[in-house]
Amino acid sequence: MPQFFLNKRLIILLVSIIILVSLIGLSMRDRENISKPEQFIKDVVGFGQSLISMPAHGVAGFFANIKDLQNTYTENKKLKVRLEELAKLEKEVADLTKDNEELREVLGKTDNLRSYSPIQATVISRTPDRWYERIIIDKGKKSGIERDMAVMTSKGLVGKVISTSEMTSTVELLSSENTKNRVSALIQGEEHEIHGLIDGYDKEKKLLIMKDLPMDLEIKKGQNVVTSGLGGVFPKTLDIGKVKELTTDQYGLTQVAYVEPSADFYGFEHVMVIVRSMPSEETEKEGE
Amino acid sequence: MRRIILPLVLALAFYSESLFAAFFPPEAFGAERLFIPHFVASLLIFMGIYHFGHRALVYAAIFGLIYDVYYTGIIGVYLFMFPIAVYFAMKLMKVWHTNLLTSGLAAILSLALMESLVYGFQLLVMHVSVTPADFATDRLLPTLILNLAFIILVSFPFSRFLMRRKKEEAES
Repeated sequence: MPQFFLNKRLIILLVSIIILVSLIGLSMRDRENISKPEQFIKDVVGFGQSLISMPAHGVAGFFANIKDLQNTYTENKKLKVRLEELAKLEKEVADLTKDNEELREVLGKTDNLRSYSPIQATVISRTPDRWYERIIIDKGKKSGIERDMAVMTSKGLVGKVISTSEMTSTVELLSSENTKNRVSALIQGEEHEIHGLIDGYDKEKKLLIMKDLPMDLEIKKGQNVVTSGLGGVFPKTLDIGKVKELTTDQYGLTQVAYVEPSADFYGFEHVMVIVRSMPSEETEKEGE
Repeated sequence: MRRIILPLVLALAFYSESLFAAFFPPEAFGAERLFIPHFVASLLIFMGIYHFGHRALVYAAIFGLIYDVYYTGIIGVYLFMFPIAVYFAMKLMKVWHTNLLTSGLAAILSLALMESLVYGFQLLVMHVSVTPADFATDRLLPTLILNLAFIILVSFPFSRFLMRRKKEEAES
């Protein structure tokens, strides 16, 4: 028996297994934010990463520009057609906005779930082991970013912030396979809005899965899906995508919609972190 | 001055992994194949093989820790997997005669072991829904191919560099 304990390698192995399990347990806890030493490491590594990724993105951008030039002609044609519609739409929007503001003034209700201010950020790295789809951006707590905030590209919602350090934050993309990654969403209908949850991503179809949709409401393909602004710190009507397919869930009680995301989950460099103007319930409570 | 070259090379490899992930989306290779870069691990394994044993293990733990904190957020996985891969390769090379071919093979085997262990962890703890067959064809095989290409590219200059460093250290 004493010989057993004298075996140095075995003891090292046992001790490291204990450390491994406790470290994993520690980091898997449902915690508010990562610890100070972790934040420090992230800041230091993130600084180096941003130094390296800037020229790399520059070079990649140059080649992307050349590629863009090839498509300019066909793109221009399409855009001209859209432009005429746009002018009409713009007048309508301006009119509606003014109308909305006036009515709000009459009501005396200035808080709005829809209003937000964006924080511009640059993607500095992407998780190389693709178990989860995560990106790291170059803005953090110092710029006012908090956990659970929505992250968008110019095309639409891409994910939400899962942890922050002083200078960087980690964003989990909607395409990530993580059951905790949920977004409260709604389908814009002509008559009523249909609420549901974006919960999961179908990797083969490349579509988002929207669950918990009531059975009795008719949903059409091509309807717009946006954030609902309920729960958490997401503002309302951030673009998510369009309904592409419809099925029922395994029990036949609710409908499941497959949503084609508006945003690309790859090949973007600039993102906006969305700070809702209206405080969420939690922050309000802290303030009291 | 010369002392920092090795950590610098490793740091560059570390950053290049995420650049690779950003610029080569899975769509670039068609289908659902996931090419996971393990450049740092490959270099560390080479350090282990070319008689930097003890230091290679320490570096492996440090880079594993940084990898965990910076990318995955679950501390402990790569912190242990990197040293395990290096240790495994070192043990293999005790049996085999060291040359570029066998060290490349040892590196690939260690990477396969590491990737499988991480998959086992993800399956047990994080409950990912990837079947072993899918893992083998969609993740393990492409990953090994990518890293084999990387190893073929860098093994010759890097092993030369390691041997020169070793000689310099022995002299001074």
